[in-house]
Amino acid sequence: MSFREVASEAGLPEYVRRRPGGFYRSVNPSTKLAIAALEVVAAFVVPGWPGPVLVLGAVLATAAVARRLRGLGIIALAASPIVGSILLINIFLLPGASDPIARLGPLAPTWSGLWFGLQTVARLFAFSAAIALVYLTTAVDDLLADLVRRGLGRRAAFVVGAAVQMVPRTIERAGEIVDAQRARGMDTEGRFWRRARGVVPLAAPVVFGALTEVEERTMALEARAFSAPGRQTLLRIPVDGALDRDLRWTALLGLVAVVGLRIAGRLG
Amino acid sequence: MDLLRRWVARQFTTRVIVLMPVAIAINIVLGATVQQALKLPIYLDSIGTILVGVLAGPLAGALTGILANLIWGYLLPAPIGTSTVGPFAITAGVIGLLAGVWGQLGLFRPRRGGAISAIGAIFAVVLVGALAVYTYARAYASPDQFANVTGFKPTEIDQSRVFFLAVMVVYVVLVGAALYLRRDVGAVFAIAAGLVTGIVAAIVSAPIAAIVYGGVTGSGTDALVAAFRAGGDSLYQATLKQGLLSDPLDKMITSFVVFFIIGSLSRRFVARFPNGEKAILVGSEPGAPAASEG
Amino acid sequence: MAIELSGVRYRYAGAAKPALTSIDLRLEPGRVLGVVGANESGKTTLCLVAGGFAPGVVGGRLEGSARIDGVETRSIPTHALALHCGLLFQNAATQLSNTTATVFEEVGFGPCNLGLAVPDVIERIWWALRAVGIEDLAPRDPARLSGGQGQLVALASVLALRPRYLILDEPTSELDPAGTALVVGALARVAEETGAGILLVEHKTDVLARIADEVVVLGDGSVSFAGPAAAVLADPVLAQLGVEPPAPVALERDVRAAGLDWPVELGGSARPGSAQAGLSDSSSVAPSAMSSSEPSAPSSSDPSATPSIELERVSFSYPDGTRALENVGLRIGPGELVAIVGQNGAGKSTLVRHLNGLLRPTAGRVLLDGRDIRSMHVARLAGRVGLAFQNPDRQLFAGRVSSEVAFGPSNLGLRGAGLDERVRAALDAVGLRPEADSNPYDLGYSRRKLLSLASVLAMRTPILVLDEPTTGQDARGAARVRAVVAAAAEQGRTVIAVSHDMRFVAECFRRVVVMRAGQVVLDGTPDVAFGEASWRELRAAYLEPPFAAVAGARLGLGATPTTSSFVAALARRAG
Repeated sequence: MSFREVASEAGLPEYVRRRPGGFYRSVNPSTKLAIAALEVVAAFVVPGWPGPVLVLGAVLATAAVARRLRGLGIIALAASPIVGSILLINIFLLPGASDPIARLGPLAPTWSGLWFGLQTVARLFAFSAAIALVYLTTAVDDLLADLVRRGLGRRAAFVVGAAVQMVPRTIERAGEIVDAQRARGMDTEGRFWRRARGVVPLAAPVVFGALTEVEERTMALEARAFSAPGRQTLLRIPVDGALDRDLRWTALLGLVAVVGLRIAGRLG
Repeated sequence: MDLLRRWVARQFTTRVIVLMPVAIAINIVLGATVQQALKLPIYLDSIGTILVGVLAGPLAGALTGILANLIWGYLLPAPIGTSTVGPFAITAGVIGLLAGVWGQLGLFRPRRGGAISAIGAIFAVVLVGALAVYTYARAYASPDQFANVTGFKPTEIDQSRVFFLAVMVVYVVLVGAALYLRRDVGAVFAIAAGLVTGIVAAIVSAPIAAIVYGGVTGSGTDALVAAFRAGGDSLYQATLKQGLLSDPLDKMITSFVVFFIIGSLSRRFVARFPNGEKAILVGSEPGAPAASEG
Repeated sequence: MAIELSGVRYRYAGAAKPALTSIDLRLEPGRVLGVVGANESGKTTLCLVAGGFAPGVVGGRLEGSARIDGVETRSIPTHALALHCGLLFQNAATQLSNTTATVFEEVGFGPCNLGLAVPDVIERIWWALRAVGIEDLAPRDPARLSGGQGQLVALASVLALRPRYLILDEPTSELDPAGTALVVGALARVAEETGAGILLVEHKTDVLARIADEVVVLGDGSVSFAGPAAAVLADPVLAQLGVEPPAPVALERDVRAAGLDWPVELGGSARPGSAQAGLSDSSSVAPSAMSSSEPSAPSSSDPSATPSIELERVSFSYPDGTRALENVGLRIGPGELVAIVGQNGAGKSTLVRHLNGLLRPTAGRVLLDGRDIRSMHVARLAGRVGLAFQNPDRQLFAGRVSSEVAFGPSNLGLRGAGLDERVRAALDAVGLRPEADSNPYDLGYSRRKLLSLASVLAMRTPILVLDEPTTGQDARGAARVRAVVAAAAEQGRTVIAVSHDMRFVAECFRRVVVMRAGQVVLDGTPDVAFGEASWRELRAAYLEPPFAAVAGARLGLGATPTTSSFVAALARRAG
């Protein structure tokens, strides 16, 4: 079965075709994945500063043009506790560092600690941002559709797609459960011990409620021929143009090249 | 080859395929909220992984863990999406794999009484205890630095013994609680399996945490890592030591929770999973309608 | 060409007793076969066996012959079963694939799984959407539909595989009257347009009266009796088997039991379809003979111990901006029995959640005995206002039924012998005492609902709020609920219930509050609320008055919302 039957798309309503528009957003999902892979590997494999800085620069530039800087900002904010920890630990406790910034009693922050800490943070941001960019510019079902077209099994795609949809629903349900148990007099604020006792009455219905649905969901899937053999038809397939293909191959080759250079010791 | 293919296919029935996203959602929702509520190094973010491993098999468990972490880290919007968990997909995969092995061995089966079970349980405790002693002795084999920092004299405290004892105390307390709640010797096996899983998870996570995050997680346990680093441990060693304190605790509790969950589900429902027969009480019980029937 | 079960005996894996002991049944294309029976009589198992899902998907042992179009279901591969039989269940949400963003793609999920070419898939999608009548829903998000719409999407999804037979297991039990009407209408349409054979399991015998050709009654895993729909549904044995007959049949029975003649103007209820010609009644049925007395005035306890509760110009908007309540003013005095009715989305559940502080008004106040509850914690209010949720699975967590029931009172501070006594009394009230040590998830859904009710009863709150207590219950379960309401009334407690079941409302409550679009549009006794003058208002709120009221109006008997008032009015006219 050929997936390039663009003509057959004629019968699809527009709300199904949903072609993403905009810079980077319209790039094929697998291409974006390949680019992200290159960026992640480069951030780790290229030693010192050039790796993280170049990657971060590329990602931020792309995000700026794609107008997704705010999303990256939110993610960066969410990472602030870990950034704080990394900096603190390295500033004060880098073993073998001997260039103190100051002496604060028994503690001696060091320049090399600060340097190393900043580098680690830069690397962390670089690779997180690279992956986040894919997420911020790609709809999950587009990504899955593209992977299925390239051979990902329908069952794996189902697991990922269903899990993504189920998480918000489970959270909503957890909220209802909190309400239901509060209506039975359970105290949800208060001292630690009270909160600890509340874990089971809150977590158990979430778990059991979700599990007891498994049987019915299984039947519903079988009732829709889910276990049929052969390849699944895809109603909508993300576009994969010549530019997308070229970018993808370039990224993959770049990835191989970077790893090769590192192994050969050429990156210092 | 064909045997391998059949073993793989057997673990991925439609029912398992339906269970996996549910388990992943449970991992993520519990992981995001329990830790926030209790503020303890108890994450409970592997419940789904271990559950799938025990019921369906090692491959399904491993895949559940890997996908859960990847989805949690990279496919969900903040505030639920937590980008720091992504690289630990490898650990999650190992946890699921181990859970599959334990399930295959029937370690999560309820065993209500019986002298043989009790003897087996004691045997398991001894075995696991020995493993833990060895691990802790190897990992914490440097009492001197600790002494330098904290001021305790080297001969008074042996780090490895202290922490090993701490973990074993927790183990005994958990088993006691389990027996009190459930009168089920099977809990001993399940919790023992959790202890082993926790140790392995710590060992696998340490390099990941060290390389990717410089050993920190952004939570309170970083203070421990700092303390160990201050004592002169390498990054990897410090991370490992911290992991060996929090992971076994978390995985023991998680394993007990999974044991409890499986024991509370309808027998008929559990039996329909590939390894379900290994997780239900032996012998026939009056069949009660499963939740969706009747 | 039929689904044919002969001598079928089926036992689930790991079960001691067979769920079906001896079933003989035949379903032909173009016919609608109704199946009724008490809960746990094997109805769901029957659906699974007829569709080949048992033993195919759930394992177990099948003896006898289960054939679809001449082929044993055992020899049909699992994925091919859906091509012969479409199966539908109660809960619309769990039947979604959770992987699609529009109804269009959701309906296409089945054909895509088969690997059909895209043009074929598209054609089938439109065909299924048209057959069910939901083309306008095609662009919508399947997760954001009402219960009734969701069931229609599920119906279209299985239809897209072009099965010759459809098997539906209580598809309307979670739906409001509007949703029920939607689904029933769609089924009738599908039956006509596609010629499919339909097997429909239902509690709501009125629905079967409307569209079934034959009806089979199950009891304890075997067919108690079967025959043409009209005859079976009119048979008095139905009530003994735990099945509520359709409202016209029940009414006729009570009339004749009182020694009166069934009025000719109402048509022959022996053909329930015709009895409703000219009368419309889509309300679900509640048992008639068992507890049809008017709720009595509170006798024993001191009314001043029960507080009054009042909503004073309450408005509420959800964080996303949806306005759920608009300037609602409602005062409920001590010991009142109030039913709140209305379509899903009218604001009923939102309103009752204000009564125990789970939701706080965005404008206005809630007063308990004249005091604003704004400053009171939900946990404290739980001791005054007990709320039983519609879905029991939102609350169950303990390993034992008795522990579950003890949770509420122990949160209120009870211990020891007092606690045990409360638990015992509550379990007795709902008839679950024999199951005190069972695992809650070993009970069926309807008994779990009773358990949830018991856990709130045990808290002995002066005000009792019940959210849809009778959905999913069979005759026995519904009778229990009615007994609980009556007992609470006798103790002088205030009982407030949200319900779709108009007969339950008319028979057990003395005040009916009708809501529409977040406002109270009608507030009065059942006589007033179900009287002819209010029908326009009711219909605007997508509700139907109980059949007794309709029949009474037809005969010009005045207000007769309950069967007993109808019989009394008829007797007065005759005598």
